[in-house]
Amino acid sequence: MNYFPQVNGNGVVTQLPYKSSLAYNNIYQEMPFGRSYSFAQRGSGLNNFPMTPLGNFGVNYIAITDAEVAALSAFFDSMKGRLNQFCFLDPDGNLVNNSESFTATSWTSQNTGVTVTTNGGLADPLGGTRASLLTATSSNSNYAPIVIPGGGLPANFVLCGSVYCMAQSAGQSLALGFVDSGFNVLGSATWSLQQNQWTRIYYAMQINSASYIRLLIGGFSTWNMTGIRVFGPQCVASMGPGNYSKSPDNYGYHPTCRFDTDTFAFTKIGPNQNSVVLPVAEYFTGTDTNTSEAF
Amino acid sequence: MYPGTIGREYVTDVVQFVNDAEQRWAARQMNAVFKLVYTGVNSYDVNIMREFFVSKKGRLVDSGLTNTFTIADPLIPGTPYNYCYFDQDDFTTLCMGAGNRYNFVLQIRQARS
Repeated sequence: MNYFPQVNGNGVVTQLPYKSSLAYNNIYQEMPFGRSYSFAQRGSGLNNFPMTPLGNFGVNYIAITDAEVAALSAFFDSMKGRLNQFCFLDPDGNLVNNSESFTATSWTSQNTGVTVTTNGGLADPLGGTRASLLTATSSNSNYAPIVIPGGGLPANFVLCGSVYCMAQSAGQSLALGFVDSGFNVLGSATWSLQQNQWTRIYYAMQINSASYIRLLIGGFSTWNMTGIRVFGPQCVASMGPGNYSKSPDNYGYHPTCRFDTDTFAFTKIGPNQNSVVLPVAEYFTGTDTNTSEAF
Repeated sequence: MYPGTIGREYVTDVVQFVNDAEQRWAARQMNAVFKLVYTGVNSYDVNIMREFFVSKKGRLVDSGLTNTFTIADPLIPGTPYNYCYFDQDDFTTLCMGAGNRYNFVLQIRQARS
């Protein structure tokens, strides 16, 4: 699978301002008697149409180096403009699906000994009531949701996992990292949690594995038979955790994208400084990739 | 947020005769239209608005008006407008540089009063 590249070792997919869009396709008419009328072309459960809206992204680099432009240009050439398909990992989306529903299949199928004590409805760190209480039933309990279902990431591709946590008792900790399909640990870190205080823990690393990738939450005897309040698990293709985005409404994995232009042009704005705008559009290929993850 | 646009819209049908006389009639009652502008919104609130937009499936107006919603008049508290729908199929956010805040616009119409 081809992935839209990160232009340097820090995992930059875009610079700001960055436009991200999801779109339905409804046929809409104003009837002569004044009543509006519409029917769905996609996103509403019709057979052989996508179940979800499709994405549209305005990748924007306001100042990148000549080498970074060359990397983008090479990728654009390999895609031959609008011809070929690639996977776009939305830097403003969330690669952890169903981020606020721990009873969804994407979580229950990747659960090792974690009990969902309360699924949502608890006070969260951002002023709402969307946090959950998760309790470990063994010393090595963990969740390992799949974040890159297709696998085959380019070498040194940067991913960052994060989650808001609040310890229910003193001395709790939680590990966060990445594992491959064989549950080999690619990298991890353990965070000490403050009792009754929210902390956003995160872990970023360069991935070098052809396997599909999971985000590891817990394990290493860190969850250890205790309850931890959790909110907003997230994974992004970036060095930092970024803004939290709720999925599946803003699911970041878009495997069927193409450039929405046949022209690659950049503007020289100074010595070794360039600006580039690349529109990316998600296409429907007959399989709803947003809902058919390989769990 | 400012600048928001709140309007009312009528549909009047007109038939013009050869002597320039006209006959007019109201095709329907007044409906409300809104253009809501959001600037500098944090990601948590964007998530809430996006979730609501997705639940309404964009500009889909089903025959039973079951996916419409009610919006309160931003100018006259306590005045609700029922049977509203999004007048757009896309939910587009622009993530700005300052503090990773988002800008977006929602256009809303009323299907019936």
